[in-house]
Amino acid sequence: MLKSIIPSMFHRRLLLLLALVIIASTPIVAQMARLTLTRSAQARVDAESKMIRRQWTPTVRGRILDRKDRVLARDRASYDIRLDYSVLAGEWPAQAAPRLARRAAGAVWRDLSPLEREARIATIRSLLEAHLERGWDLLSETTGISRPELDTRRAEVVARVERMYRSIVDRRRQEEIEALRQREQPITSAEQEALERRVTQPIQEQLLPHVLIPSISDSIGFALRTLEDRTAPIIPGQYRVAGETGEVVIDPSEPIEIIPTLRVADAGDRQYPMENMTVDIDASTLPGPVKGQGKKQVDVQGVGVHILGWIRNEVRKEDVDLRRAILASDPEISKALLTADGRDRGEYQALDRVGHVGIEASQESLLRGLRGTREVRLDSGDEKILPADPGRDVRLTIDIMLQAKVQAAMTPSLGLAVVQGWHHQDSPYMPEGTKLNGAAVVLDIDTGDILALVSTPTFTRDEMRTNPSAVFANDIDVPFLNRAIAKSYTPGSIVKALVLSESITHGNFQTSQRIPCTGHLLPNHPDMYRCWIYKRFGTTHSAFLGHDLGGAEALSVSCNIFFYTLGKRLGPEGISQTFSDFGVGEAFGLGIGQEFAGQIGTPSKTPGAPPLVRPEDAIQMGIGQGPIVWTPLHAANSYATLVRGGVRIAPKLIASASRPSPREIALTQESISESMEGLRLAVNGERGTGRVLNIDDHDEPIFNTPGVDIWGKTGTADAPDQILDPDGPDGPQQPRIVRAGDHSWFVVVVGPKGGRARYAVAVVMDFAGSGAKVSGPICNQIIHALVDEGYLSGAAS
Amino acid sequence: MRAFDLNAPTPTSQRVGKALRLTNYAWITVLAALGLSLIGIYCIDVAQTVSALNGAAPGGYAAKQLAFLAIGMLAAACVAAPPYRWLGYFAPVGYILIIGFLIFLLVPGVPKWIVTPRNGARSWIDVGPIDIQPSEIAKIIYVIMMARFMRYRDSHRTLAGLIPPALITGVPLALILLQPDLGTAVLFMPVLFAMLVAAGAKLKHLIIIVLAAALFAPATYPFLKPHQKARFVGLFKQIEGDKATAQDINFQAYTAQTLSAAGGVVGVGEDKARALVHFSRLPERHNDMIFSVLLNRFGLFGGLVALLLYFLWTAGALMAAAATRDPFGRLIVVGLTAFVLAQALINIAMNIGLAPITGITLPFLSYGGSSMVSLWLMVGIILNIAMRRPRPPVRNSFEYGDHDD
Repeated sequence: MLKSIIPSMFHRRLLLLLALVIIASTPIVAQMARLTLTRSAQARVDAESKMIRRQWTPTVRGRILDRKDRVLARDRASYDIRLDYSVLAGEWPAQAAPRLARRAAGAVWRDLSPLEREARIATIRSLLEAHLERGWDLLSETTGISRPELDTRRAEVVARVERMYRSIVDRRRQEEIEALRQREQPITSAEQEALERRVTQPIQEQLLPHVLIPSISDSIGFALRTLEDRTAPIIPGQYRVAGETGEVVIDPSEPIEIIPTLRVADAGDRQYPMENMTVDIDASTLPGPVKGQGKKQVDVQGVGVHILGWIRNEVRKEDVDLRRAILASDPEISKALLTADGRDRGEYQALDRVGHVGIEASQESLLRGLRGTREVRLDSGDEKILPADPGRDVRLTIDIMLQAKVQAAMTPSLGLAVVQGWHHQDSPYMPEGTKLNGAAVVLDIDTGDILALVSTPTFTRDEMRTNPSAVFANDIDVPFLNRAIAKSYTPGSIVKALVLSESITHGNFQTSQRIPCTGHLLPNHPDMYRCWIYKRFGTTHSAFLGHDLGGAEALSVSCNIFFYTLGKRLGPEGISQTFSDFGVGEAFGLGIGQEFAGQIGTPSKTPGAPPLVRPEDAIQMGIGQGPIVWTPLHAANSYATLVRGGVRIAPKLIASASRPSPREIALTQESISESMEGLRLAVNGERGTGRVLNIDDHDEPIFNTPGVDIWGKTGTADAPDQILDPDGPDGPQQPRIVRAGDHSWFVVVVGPKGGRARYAVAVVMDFAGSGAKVSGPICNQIIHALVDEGYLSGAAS
Repeated sequence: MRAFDLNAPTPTSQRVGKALRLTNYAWITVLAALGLSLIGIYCIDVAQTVSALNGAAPGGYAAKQLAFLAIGMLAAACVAAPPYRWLGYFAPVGYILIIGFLIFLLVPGVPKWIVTPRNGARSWIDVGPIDIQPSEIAKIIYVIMMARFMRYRDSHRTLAGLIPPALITGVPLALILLQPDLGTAVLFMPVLFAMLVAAGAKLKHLIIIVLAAALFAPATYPFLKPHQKARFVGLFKQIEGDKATAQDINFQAYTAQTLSAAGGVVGVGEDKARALVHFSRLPERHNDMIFSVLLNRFGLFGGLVALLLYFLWTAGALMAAAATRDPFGRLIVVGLTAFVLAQALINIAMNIGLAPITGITLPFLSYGGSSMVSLWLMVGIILNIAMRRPRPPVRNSFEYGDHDD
């Protein structure tokens, strides 16, 4: 058929070849069409993206303010010069050369022999070395730091990292060898090699940038910023390199940074302007031998450090994960945080500052702010700028001046927070002059705002940097522990006001009733459940007063027998209810780290079962002993609740924090009045335990602030000894007691004269003994401070 | 029924001489080659200079290529003039000489100033100011040698008769493979195939051989060099859509495809194309990867125009072959055409991700003097053949009566 149309076989064969050509072209045309028709839009975006150099512009971390808008933390603009470790260590040319050589060679790289590759790499390497030298000269010229000085600084960074590396490698090696030894088989040479490979892996510090020149001025920072993303050929004006092979070994379009990996980082010094202060104390208001004339100046350091926390210059995995969780939580939120092409403007980058502890940590996402972007199109030079959003300010309920004054009152140099002779502490573990640690909380009763939250000893951020072991390895004083919210304390007698109120409300005690103080609760056991008056003076309150005790009076003299009786009457359930009504067992979620929630009863050994409260525990818990522990914040909060008539308002520290709506515990008005009367008598009544100090057989009033009404209660709580066993229970060293004695409590509520109670103050001093003698005068100073700071208007100090 | 009578005498100017057929199909080939070369020069300029900010890259590639084009056309004119029959006389000598050169390239101990390995391959001989790539010349000499061998024979119509052509092909192919230059070596196979088809080898023999080769091909994989294997792996990864290799073994392929695809239907504007190509850092963009630049600049439209020009180039050459009756001339044209077209299709395929990237250039478009000149030599030879009137006795070659096909 075809033959008849085209008789020539050659012609037919030519047509066959042409047909084959067309068949072979078909997939080519199809693929060309597929690429250009279906992938064109995305490909154009991809191709364009290579022409855009994006740079983040820094943002400013938000401030932290106190309730009166005083600045507690702020950023000061400053710049650090950072370079990758590889550049500082001079390893960069050797590291970068193979990549550049390979990229310049393109597809032909695979055709090269190892020797030829080596030759090309070596050529580029020497070029890069010269390039880097020029870079150092330029940096020296721009910053005004001489080359030798610059080189010295580089050497210091490198030496530090190398030391770190060696010690980490040693430790890794020891651990690995230890692990291998455990299995009791000889280590083979292959294992040895593998082990060596593992342990000599680079450490994080070798992969990160390091600060070479810290805190440079704005003008130098700006000058260097312009150098930051500038690139230059590694041989100025010349791209072709006649190597041995006579070939181009450098890709002319390869951008090489003028100063490789140079980053002018926004160091943003975090400043805490109120961290250290000097506070004036009226010396005439101090007790006994501490009393003086005029003002006494007290240096307070690390004010609010437990609350504000601090930041670190190191990004951890958990930061990144948390950030991701925030972004994933809500599409609205993530939209606000991302750039148009979906990059998180607040993403964590190496050496970013991250809130580490306290408010800085919990409010990280607010404080952090969002970076801006600066996009430069390499072809046109057009710039597109998205301004940075500064971090938001966080306002606290704290009054920093009040905080400082409370801290001043608890500063050993003032004399109230050291063991004094008139304390009659008489403990072999705590001789006179021993510094006393403790905590204090001031709470606004109406709002639940925390005005001051002090834990001593404090520490400064400087101390933390220069002498971290003093902060984090001091096992006796544990400075980093925020005692006000995170340490468990036995409450002691301060709970008696709560127990009385609940007992009256629930019919376990009528206000008309009287209970005799018998010295000891069980007639046949004079060594158990004793009253303090029996223990100390061998008498009873009934004998001393000449009558049995009513509720208010029992509270004012802190009769144990009375409250053992109420504890017994309430029984395990009632007493547990009493404490849980007042918030024991619940943490407050203040946003400054770990809190202790408090604990009612002995934790059960069976997991999941409720804590155990036995009938005998209930008796003990009636006076705040036995299996009941809480924190100073619980103490202040429970008194505030009592004053509010049973309305519980969750305390807060961050002004804008939301909190659950107030809850009300059912307390009768009568029960509250009876407790308040007892509290009034305790600090004002003739026989009140919190009225006077006896110093050298001479009584002087604990409280000496005119124009205020004070209700309050002392507590002297039996506490387990503080034992130190540095080498653990199995170590050869015997554990030793470092602190022993009772915790000294004082809780007051205070208001202007003739007005209602406005503020609740709780003070506890660890192992300090008598609540009245140690915590009383500190409480007194706190009331002076409240007046000074204008919180008890109408009252004058 | 002579619908396809391509042998009809073409009207010619009698004044130029009875022996020459000045109006012939080969001019289509010449024009297509010129068109492709000019497009190539423009694309080389796009690939090498970015007009905006970042200063001039080493310029002059396009200008040099223009000079190469001029030299190539001059060379074409030179080889077009004398009757091509003399090529037949010298073919065996040339073949032996070129084999000698190819062996010389491989001799160890030759001073580096004479044989300089480039990109790891010993393919070049430095002769004073000019570097010669013997494999380029080998292509032409091989085609002439094959044509001379097969022109009056019909032995290749038996299976055993295919062995001599296979040997003639195998020797240079093996030597080029040893350089190593896999890309060029591979091109010899379609050329041999096309020449055998044209010379009337039995199609069933050829089909058997092609099928056997296809079955046998995977077995050669273990003998490939690591970098050659990596290219196949890369291609498969790419087909699988594995983007992890985009910055690594497939950087060149991905970048080429991205640029190609970005061209869309009619391409991006000139300035934009220059910028996109420049900042893509596509390796070999003025050379092996020039087709991506073309697609980027002119899009699918540009790609189709280039393909059409190659098609015209081929069609012109094949029509010229059809028009002449001399078996020698016919086979030369078919062989040369096969070289150019196979090279073009493979290069385009590797630009758009259909073939692994091997170092072969795109005829007429890629930068390079040696290849430009040798391509135009081929055009000159084709023109030469098309211009000669058949000498009596005129008979149709490769006609085997009833035993055709």
